Amino acid sequence: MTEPGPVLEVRDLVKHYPVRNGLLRRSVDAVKAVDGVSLRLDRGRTLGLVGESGSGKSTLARVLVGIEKPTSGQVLVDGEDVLHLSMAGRKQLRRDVQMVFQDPYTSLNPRMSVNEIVGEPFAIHGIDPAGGRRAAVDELLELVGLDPDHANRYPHQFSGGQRQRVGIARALALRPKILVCDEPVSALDVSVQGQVINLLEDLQAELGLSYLFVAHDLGVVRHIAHEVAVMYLGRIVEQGPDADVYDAAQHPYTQALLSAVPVPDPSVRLVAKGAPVIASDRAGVPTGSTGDVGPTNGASPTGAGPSRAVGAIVLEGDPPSPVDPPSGCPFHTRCWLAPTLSEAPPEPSAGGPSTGGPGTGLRLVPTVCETEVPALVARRAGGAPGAPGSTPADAAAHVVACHFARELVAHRVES
Amino acid sequence: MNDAATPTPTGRPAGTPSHPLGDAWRTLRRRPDTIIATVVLLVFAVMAAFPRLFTTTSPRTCPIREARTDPQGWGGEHPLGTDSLGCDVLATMVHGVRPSLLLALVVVGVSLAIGVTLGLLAGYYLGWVDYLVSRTVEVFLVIPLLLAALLVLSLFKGIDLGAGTFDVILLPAVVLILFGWMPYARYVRASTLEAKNLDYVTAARSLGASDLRIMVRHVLPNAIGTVTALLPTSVAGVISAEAVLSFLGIGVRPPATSWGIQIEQGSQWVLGGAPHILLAPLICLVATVLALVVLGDALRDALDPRLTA
Repeated sequence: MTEPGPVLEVRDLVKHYPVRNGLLRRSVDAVKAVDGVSLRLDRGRTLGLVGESGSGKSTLARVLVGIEKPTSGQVLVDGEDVLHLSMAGRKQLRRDVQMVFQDPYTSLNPRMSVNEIVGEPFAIHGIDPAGGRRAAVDELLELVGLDPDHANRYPHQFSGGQRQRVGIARALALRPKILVCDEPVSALDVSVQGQVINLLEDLQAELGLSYLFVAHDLGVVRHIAHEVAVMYLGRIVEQGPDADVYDAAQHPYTQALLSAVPVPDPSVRLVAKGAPVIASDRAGVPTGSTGDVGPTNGASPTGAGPSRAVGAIVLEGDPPSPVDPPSGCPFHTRCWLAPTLSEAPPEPSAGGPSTGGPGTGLRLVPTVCETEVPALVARRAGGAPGAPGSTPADAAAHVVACHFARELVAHRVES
Repeated sequence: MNDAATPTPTGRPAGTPSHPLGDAWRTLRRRPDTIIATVVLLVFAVMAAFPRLFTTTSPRTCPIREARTDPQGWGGEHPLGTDSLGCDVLATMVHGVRPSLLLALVVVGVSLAIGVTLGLLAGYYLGWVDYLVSRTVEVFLVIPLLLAALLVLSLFKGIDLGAGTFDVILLPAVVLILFGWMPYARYVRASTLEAKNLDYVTAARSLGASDLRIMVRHVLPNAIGTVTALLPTSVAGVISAEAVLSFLGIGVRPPATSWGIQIEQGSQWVLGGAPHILLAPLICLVATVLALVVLGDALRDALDPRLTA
């Protein structure tokens, strides 16, 4: 555990699923689930991976734990390329990366007792821990806060939170270095979510684990993650230390996601409902915690989204098909910012950023958005006032894939 | 479970070892229908093993002038009467238990093994394995049973198979297995497709479990449920199908008798004044199937941890 460098590194990972068609089942196209993702995860740190459904988060997680084979790219665990190892070596390395699943009701075999479930990793790898498997299982159950006396019970006799603890105990049995958590709390009650998140944090402190935390709940990610990566259509569009990404989001997609976070403040909602004109006043709302993107130049409106009720930026339509992603920037078909930029005619500014609605016909976006894939590069933080903890080094770690990212002024989301 | 008075597992002192089979037995014991079913099956099992305990008459002494005697009750010479050839019905029935039940057991057992294996492989691996298995199932489903039976008959014509316990059921067993495994394969394939994408299978795979382990420990126990419901009725199906085959001369080989043959013969005399020839073996068959259904249900409930709580 003394080696330097990241514990997990992903380089240009691509996972395409072939789309077969016709009698000969020829592969005619591919679903580009993960399309060139690079990540690094340092020891004892947590990387949060967020994005909407279908953005490729879960596929990425499944590739990392070895359930799916990537189409191309590298996965390095402790500097060793997992994909070029022999079967035996891969099995060994697989012990280092384990997974916690989303749904505690389907992730445990209903016909196996907890003892068998948690002890299965030992049986699979033929390990006999000191003191016997049963003692090791008891120890693991205690570690995750369960009563070892319940080891003979079956999953249906436990609550959702307890089942998720069983799933975590199973993942910890092989003493992994990395836990890939695929939405580990989204199926749980809010009160239980907190307990499981705290358990994960305690385990990180105790065992020095690194987490890749996949979620769509931005509040949970903010709480647990040290770094955040935002995925859209199989690519990472923004990545950086969590304070930077949350308080100084530079990508329009990230800003839209953040504005959709529910605000636990009834006054915000009341004001929004009682005053439908809030959209134009919102720059002056003191809470500033809803999707206040703020004006950046004359062409930009006062942040009015199509949803005036709560002042969130609501993206129009569904994500494009990953079989045939848009040319250039994958987000340009739904971007609320692009139509407002200089190349577009001035009219859209009157109707708000989302003039690309069905009624308005053509969306005019800057040519560069349609033709050029934006690189994931560090942008000037734009003097973001909302990231007090950011240092120059952090700013360099904050990367974003948008041609116009620097034109955005950060807006603030409190959690 | 309809037994509300039973203590739940949570009422058990903590730390008490609870083995699935031990639990299964405990649950079985609480159900009187299960006990009756077990007794019925035990009686038939004893009958199959020691037919002489139940009758001293030989099924092969058939004085034709005593044909179609009515049942005389216990103590009479022919407690259940005689059939159309004058053979004692009770003796025929008792001596028919062994070939009938053995045939049912062998056919259902082997078909199940073949069907489950192929269905599991097809559902788990898909691709060309699935293609091969599915097409084979379809081919066997469209060939009529009688046509295939005649084919097998011609293949084995003139070969003396002997008269041992297994020899007399060999031909019907081959035919019935050949055309009996497909439903199991289809059911298991379908439930495998469903079970293999569940998270606990993915979890086992991410732990590095081998395909065999995943199939045997995770997929099969959760995919076998639909098939177990099919088993008791398959037993009845096999026993009656054997009667049809014996009509063609490839059933249980004479002089051995079976319930199927007896039912087939008896059905001709139901309206001819001798329904007892049919009723005796039919009641035995129905009793066996009902006992198996009850026992199968109880076993399924007992082995599923979700239903025992």
